[in-house]
Amino acid sequence: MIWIAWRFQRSVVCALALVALIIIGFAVVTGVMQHHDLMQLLGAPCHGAEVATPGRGDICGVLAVKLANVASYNPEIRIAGLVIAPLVGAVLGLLALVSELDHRTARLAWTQSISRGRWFAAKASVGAAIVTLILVPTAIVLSWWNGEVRGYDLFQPDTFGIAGWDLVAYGLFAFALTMLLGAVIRRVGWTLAATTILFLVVAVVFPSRVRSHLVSPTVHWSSPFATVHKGSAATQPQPFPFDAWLLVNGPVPRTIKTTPTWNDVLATQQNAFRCTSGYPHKTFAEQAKAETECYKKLDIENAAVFIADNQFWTMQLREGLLYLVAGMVFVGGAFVFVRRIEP
Amino acid sequence: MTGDDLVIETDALTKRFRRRTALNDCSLAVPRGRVAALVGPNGSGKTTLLRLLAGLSRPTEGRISVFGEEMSTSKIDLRARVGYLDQDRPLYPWWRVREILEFGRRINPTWDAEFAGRQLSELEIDLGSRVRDLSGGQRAQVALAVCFAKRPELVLLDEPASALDPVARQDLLQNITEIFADHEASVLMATHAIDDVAAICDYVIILSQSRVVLSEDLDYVLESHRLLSRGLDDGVPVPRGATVLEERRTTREITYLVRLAMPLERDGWRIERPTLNEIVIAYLRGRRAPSASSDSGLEESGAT
Repeated sequence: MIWIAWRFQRSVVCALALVALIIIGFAVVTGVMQHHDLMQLLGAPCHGAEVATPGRGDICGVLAVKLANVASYNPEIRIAGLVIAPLVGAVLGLLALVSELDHRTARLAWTQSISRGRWFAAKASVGAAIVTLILVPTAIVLSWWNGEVRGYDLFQPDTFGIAGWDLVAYGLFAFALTMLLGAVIRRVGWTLAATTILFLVVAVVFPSRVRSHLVSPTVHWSSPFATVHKGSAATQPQPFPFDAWLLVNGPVPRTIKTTPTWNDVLATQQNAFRCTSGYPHKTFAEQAKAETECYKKLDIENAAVFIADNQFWTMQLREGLLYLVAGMVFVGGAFVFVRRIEP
Repeated sequence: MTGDDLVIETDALTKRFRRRTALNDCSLAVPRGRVAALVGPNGSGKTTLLRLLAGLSRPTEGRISVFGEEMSTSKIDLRARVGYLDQDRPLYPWWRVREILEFGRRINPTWDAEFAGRQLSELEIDLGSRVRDLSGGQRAQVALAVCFAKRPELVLLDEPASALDPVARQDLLQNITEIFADHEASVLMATHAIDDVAAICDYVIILSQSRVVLSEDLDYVLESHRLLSRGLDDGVPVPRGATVLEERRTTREITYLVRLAMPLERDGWRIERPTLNEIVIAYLRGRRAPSASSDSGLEESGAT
């Protein structure tokens, strides 16, 4: 049965593998070039600055232009990374089940000496194995690429999905979602449309509503008026590590019981504004004094809520597991429908 | 007839698809070793009955058994004994014929690879051809080879020769006849073509408007029906034991197609043997088979 499942989708698998290889190749070439140029630009004699170097021509400027040219491919690779997983999953899901139901070729298999359970298990397992085989090398290369072009800072919300193993989980999720929808709809076109819409909804809702709750964020309290002196200049200190994923940063009452949110920051700012309007603040000094007194009175401090860089793999693991569990539920649902289908 | 003698038995079988009733209270029994024809107009429930027998769908009500066992979608051992040729001949179009046979070999423990290969080579079908490149007739032959190569004890054929040109149709039917002779399988073949029934089958089941209206041995069906003709003014009554199925009138003559329950006395009637086509059409128009001894035929008015 494994041979049959493989034979059924081998040409499409080759096409998808080719797409993945193109993405991998492009990411490797641009990643290496970008890393090389970045290292040169950061090293001597440029030290990251695009300045003309006497006697050597404008090496640093040329390097900066080269780097910018290579980096201009980054959005394409990022988009390709976001698209490849659902593409592979949905296409193989369509082929494994929906195409058979739509073209009624399932009747051929279902009237032979094989149970629908075995038939479905072979289809689902071979499909899932192929999704994994295509996406694992893609995920490895894109993670490396992401690290190279981001200076090893993986933890960026916009590239979280194309770094780490979640890419594989997204592909398997799309595969399972397509199988479930296909078992219900039984038409290739409509299934693809429904899968695309639902996957997009999940891809938008999950990162904005769920992802930040996967690990406990760190809350760093600091005085909103703290300053750091560097030579003669005084600046506000950065209340969170530069490579962390910042969730919230702003004034919040210290008495708050829950993890501060942007709504809390907004409410606090409004309270503080109401408070300071009761004070005379014609001059800058008066305004600063009013703010200081109100912040003290309302017990307001600056809260930086962030997820530290070392939580990256924990988040990846948890998010990936959520997608995989959902995928398994979908596959189970698809099997229930397949058992009931009268083709 | 005992259960062991029956290859197919249904009891009050009903199949509904939402609001549409495809089969209604359908009871029939097909003896083992017969080549049975399932005849009926479009939408009469032939395909539904075959799919229920093939284990592709479940009855809404009633019972369906094959070889004395209840058929269901999960009975692999039972399904292994049943070959099914779907009317759409669902073969993978981009596969090569050789791969289709390999598909059959891998999922059927009783697969007869030699038979399948020989069948197709005798028909000069290239095993290296893709299914989509085959003609309709060749595709039907490949589907038939797959159906028979699993060595089924019961073969269900759904319109095997439909949509084929006359030559391909003749070749396919010839092939089916030869395979029947070689295999000791029971066969149930749905068809519109009454000529096919007469050429191949020895048992006939007529379905009309989702109900079984006749299920009998073909020879018995031919022997138990007659055309009785007389002049319009003769006034001779229809003989005792004859049930009128159909009445035809011309300006001078009246003809009845009757079913006989006992030997016929001539009594002034001109008696002829009807063709199977005439009998089937009479049943399809009248819908219900009268009981053999009953006089409650569909059309007895004016018969005396």
